[in-house]
Amino acid sequence: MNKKKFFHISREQWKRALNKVMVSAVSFIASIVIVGIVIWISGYSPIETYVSMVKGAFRSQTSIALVFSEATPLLFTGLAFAIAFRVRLVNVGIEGQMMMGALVGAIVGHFVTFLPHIPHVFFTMLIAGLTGMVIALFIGFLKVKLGANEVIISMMLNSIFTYIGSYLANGPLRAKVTGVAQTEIIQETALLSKLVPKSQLTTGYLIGLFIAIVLAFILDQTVLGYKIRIAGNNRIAGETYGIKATKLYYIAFMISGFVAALGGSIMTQGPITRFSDGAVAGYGFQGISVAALGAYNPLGVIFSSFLYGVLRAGSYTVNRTTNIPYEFVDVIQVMVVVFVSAPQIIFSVKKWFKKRKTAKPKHLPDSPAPAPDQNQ
Amino acid sequence: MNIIQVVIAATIRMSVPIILGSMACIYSSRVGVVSFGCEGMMATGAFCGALAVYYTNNLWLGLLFAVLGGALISLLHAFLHVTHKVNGTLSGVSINLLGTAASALVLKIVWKSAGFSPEYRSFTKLSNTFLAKIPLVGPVLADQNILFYIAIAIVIVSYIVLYKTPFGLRLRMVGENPVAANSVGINTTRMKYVGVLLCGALAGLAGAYLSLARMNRFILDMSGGRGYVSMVIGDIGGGNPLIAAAISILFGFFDCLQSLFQSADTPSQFWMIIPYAFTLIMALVNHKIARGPAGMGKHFDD
Repeated sequence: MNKKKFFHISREQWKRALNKVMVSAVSFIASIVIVGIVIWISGYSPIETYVSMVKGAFRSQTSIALVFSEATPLLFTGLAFAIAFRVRLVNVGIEGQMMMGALVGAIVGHFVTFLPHIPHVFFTMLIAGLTGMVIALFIGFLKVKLGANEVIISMMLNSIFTYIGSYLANGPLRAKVTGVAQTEIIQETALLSKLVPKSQLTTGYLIGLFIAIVLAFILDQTVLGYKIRIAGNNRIAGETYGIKATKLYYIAFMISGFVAALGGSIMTQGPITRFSDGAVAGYGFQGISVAALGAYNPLGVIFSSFLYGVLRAGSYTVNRTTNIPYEFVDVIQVMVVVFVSAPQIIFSVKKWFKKRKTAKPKHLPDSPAPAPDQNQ
Repeated sequence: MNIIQVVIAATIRMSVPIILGSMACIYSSRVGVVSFGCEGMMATGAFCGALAVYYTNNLWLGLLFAVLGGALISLLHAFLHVTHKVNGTLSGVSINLLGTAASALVLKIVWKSAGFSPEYRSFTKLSNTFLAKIPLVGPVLADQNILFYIAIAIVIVSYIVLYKTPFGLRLRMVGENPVAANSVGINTTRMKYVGVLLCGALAGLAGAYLSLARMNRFILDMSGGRGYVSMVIGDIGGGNPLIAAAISILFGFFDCLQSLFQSADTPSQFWMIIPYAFTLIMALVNHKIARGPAGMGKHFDD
């Protein structure tokens, strides 16, 4: 009996993976170049900016810790978006799910006082994650059972959750001492321990890595992952074989909600330590860029979140030393989504160059133009 | 003005950007393109209008630039979704992110400010015109600015264009069934481009209302989710401009209630939830219509 080989990768798979890496790399470089032109037009040196950015990010132990702590929330939202996109669902509710995770993390972290350190940390994360899961389940339920548009529901729920969180932070849960609208600091027992002292980097990043590896394993090596990939790539073919797409919509959406809310809770238990208005705002939509750069692959997301961590941490240095605004990192992130989701843009430029090259020696007027190679 | 007139005037003021935005989204969803990018087009329109007025001090030029800015960014949306067949929602999200990120960046570069621009001229109310002398409705009408009347004209024109002209018929056919539309000789790609460009132009106008009429400065994130609400309302109305305009006014009414009751004892957040909860419930009740035309997100050669 031949043993089943784990992690067997065929030549075809290597080729496909390499192609995806190429698309991501070229997209990233193209975005950096375009934003570099914007920086150049506004009167700064783009090369100097990028060099000082990378230098700033890897200056010292503290700044490297900053890179990873900036990458932590992006890792979670990137994973959450990637797993939902594997069944071709765009989960725009990540923003709200992450916020509710942060809120529930703050509530459980503060009001549960009887648990010792490690159980308390995991209990808080679990409850927060389940909250996100229930929200995602609710959205999935409305989509599958009522046929409602999940994008509309997610967006409206995002707004409603934002106001609920704002109400709780301003009203019943407001901390007594501070003048700002925020909740009390969570108990010491619920705080994640720090990986690098005097930094914001916590063990939450390791949890993110663990989840990324688990998700990659599920997607590549299990029956469930196989079904998810089939339902996403060709729903009708899958249903012919009895793979019910609706059930997989639920599952992928629930995993997505769980991971997003877990990320929110880890932000509360790590650097933020309490919940306030807009504490985790914006990470949800940035996750889309992270997932796109990571080719919607959990292992790719690890690298892309690290890359964005470098950009973000470096941009703080640049912003401190020069007048260049750090908002240009946001523009880079958006351009990456544009290029990754339409890699044909880059290929069409390549084709255009090729056409020009082949068109030059055309001196015979009656010879037909060379037909474009269909395989490219 | 008595209290009823004040409420009606405020309702109309709140609903003008939503009316314009939902008209924009109708054109987009009628050709089968998800109008999720409306938020980013609005933000871009608001910013381009503000930039133009700040430098030229001419409001009509500002309006023109807002429309052009919205159309320009919608061109990217069309390029991604129609030409390159990117998932419509995903491309919409990137448009939204680009709208916010690019305006934040240019805001920093041009005005060296994080969040808002300096003040400039803005559209004023029509208080001193003949409108104010009309009994009963006069004060309400005079409390608006010219963009309200432009919005009404756009609603009526949109209705006529969509339902009474051959162009509108083709537009709707592309959204319902692109394959059939293609087989009778309609250029579906061009129609989709036209629909998305109209969406961007009108969304830019909606953004201009925010930055040139409601306020006299540009504030980052000033669209504040109105693009999403417009998308939902355009879909709830089944793509009919008149129904969508009516629902927009209803939304404006809840938005106005929210601002009236903010000073009351109850927490303001509850009142702010009302418009969104209303939209959510409407979307759930009307879910069959709210899904848009049958060919949503489909291309003729799928």
